[in-house]
Amino acid sequence: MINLCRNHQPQTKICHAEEHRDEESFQNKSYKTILLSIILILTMTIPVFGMGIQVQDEANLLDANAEARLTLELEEAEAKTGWDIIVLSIADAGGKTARVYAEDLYDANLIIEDGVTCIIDMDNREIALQTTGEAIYYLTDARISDVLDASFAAASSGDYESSFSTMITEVVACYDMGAQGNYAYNEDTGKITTYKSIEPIEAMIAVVLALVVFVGIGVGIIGKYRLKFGGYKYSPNNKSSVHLTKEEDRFVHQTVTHRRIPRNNGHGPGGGGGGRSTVRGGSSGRSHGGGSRGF
Amino acid sequence: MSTISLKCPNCGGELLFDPKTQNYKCEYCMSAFTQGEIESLTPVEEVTEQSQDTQEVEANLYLCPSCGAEIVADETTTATFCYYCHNPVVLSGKMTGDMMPDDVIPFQIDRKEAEKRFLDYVQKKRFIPKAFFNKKQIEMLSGVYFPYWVCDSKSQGTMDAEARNMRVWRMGDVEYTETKHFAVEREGELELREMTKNALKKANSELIDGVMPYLLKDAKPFQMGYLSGFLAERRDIEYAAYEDEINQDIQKYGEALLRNSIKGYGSVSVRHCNIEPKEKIWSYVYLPVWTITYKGKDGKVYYYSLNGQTGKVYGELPISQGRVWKFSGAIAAVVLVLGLIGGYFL
Repeated sequence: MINLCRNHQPQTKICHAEEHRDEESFQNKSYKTILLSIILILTMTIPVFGMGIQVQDEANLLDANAEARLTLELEEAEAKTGWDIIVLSIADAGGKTARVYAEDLYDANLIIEDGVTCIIDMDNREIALQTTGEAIYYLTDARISDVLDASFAAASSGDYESSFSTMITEVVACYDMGAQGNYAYNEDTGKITTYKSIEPIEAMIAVVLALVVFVGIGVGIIGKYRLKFGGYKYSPNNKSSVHLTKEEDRFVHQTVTHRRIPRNNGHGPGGGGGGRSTVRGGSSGRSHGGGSRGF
Repeated sequence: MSTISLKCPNCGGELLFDPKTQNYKCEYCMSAFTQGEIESLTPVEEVTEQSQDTQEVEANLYLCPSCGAEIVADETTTATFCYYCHNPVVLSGKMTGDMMPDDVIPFQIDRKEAEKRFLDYVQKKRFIPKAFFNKKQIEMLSGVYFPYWVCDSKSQGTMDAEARNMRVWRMGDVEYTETKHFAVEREGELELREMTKNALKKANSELIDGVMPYLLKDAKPFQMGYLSGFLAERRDIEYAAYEDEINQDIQKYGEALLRNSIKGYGSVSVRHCNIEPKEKIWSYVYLPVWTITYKGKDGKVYYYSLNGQTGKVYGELPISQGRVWKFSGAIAAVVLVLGLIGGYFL
């Protein structure tokens, strides 16, 4: 490739090519470094959630020790589930419900992909759970109800740490139960989304099936080539005839049985076997699931 | 004991049966003769061998009608080539009495055609090592008439069975299931034809049974001449040896025939089935097989048989493991992807 430029005489192609290469590469290098540093800075500015914002005790329900213990529990739970779990206590909800308050608080400032917020609202006197992302499918309406049932008593009697602790434990238990078959029903739009994922068991079944096919086909072909399946088998197709002298089909009796079909409880599709999580759109446009219980 | 070889009326040369034209061809003057012409024009030459005075004469001593040399053959061989002058010899003496075949299917495929069909068949196979099969590696290609017993049977069969038909329907919240039970009886005359069994002990049954079926309706009444130019063996297994096996076959296939006559039900279970063979007609038949010995590139010897009438090839094939597993793996990968997609959405 001849690289002629206005400033240089094309004395020898090689010399010029080298010079230009140096110039070019220098330009390329600086572009590259600038690009890399931009990317680096951007990634650093993405808020790393879960650092020090796990317990937000606005209502001062927990002392330092309690906070420390809860933080430890939260870290364990987060490590297990991969979610962002926050403990929030509200002193003044400013007229909002606990869940709406939490929505406004978090959605505007921070980015939570999948997570659960455990709330004790002293203003409205209610305990609540707010779910985002993947957690929506694991905490169905029914399960949330159970979690709140479990944590309700402690909150009523004033043992707030215990209440939060129970909420965290129960949330992790819901994670263990899995989300197969659950679906989210959006109150506002009426849309239904099923939990899409590849459960480990399904992956295993797919792998086992593929292995069976792999070995089966391989062995089958080798067997055929090695004549392990026997050769010719007499087939009576054109070589036989039947001349029936007696052909009787006698009706003996008939039985009729009946069974009652159980009515389906779910109203939406996929209701059979799946748990429903009712979901609302939040102030920031993200949808959340959850529930609350007055104490 | 007598041997036969057919001589050309024009030049005296040996006449061989040509599968391509289904006639007799003289190798020297290229004249061709039909079966009818052979019988009318040239009386079949017979050379009676001189029996020795002593009793130690082996019944198997034959002399070649062309050169007089002793024919080297097995006890069961009925047609071969003279070891010395390579002329075809039919040992007619061994086919007297009940050793005379009833029918024969003459070779429809000649040597060249057999070779071509074999190579075509084998090269089409997907999982053999590349360029494994080569015409030059064919060590031996022999056309042999093998002896078979063919059985046509007539039996009386009875069958009792229970059949069910189900109907399901819904009315409101209730699902109704109606099951109708039937008693089914069948009785009749069953015919099972062309059950073929190998009649030669030394033959590799698997190989020569594997090339079946033959279109036995094309069989011709036996004539010695057909054997000229091929090898042939006579039987050393009598049909009585197959009595049990044939009875079992009749049971099995007879039951299947009766079962197939029960139609129109959702489910059928056979309660009782009795098949009684009433008549068995055994025919002693010569069927044409090209036997191929092939020396593989890997040093191993491979044996194949090729049906002399239909061209079907049977035999163990060499395997290219790489190709097999790659193909398997590809299909398995597709199954895996489909399985994962299914799991994702379910």
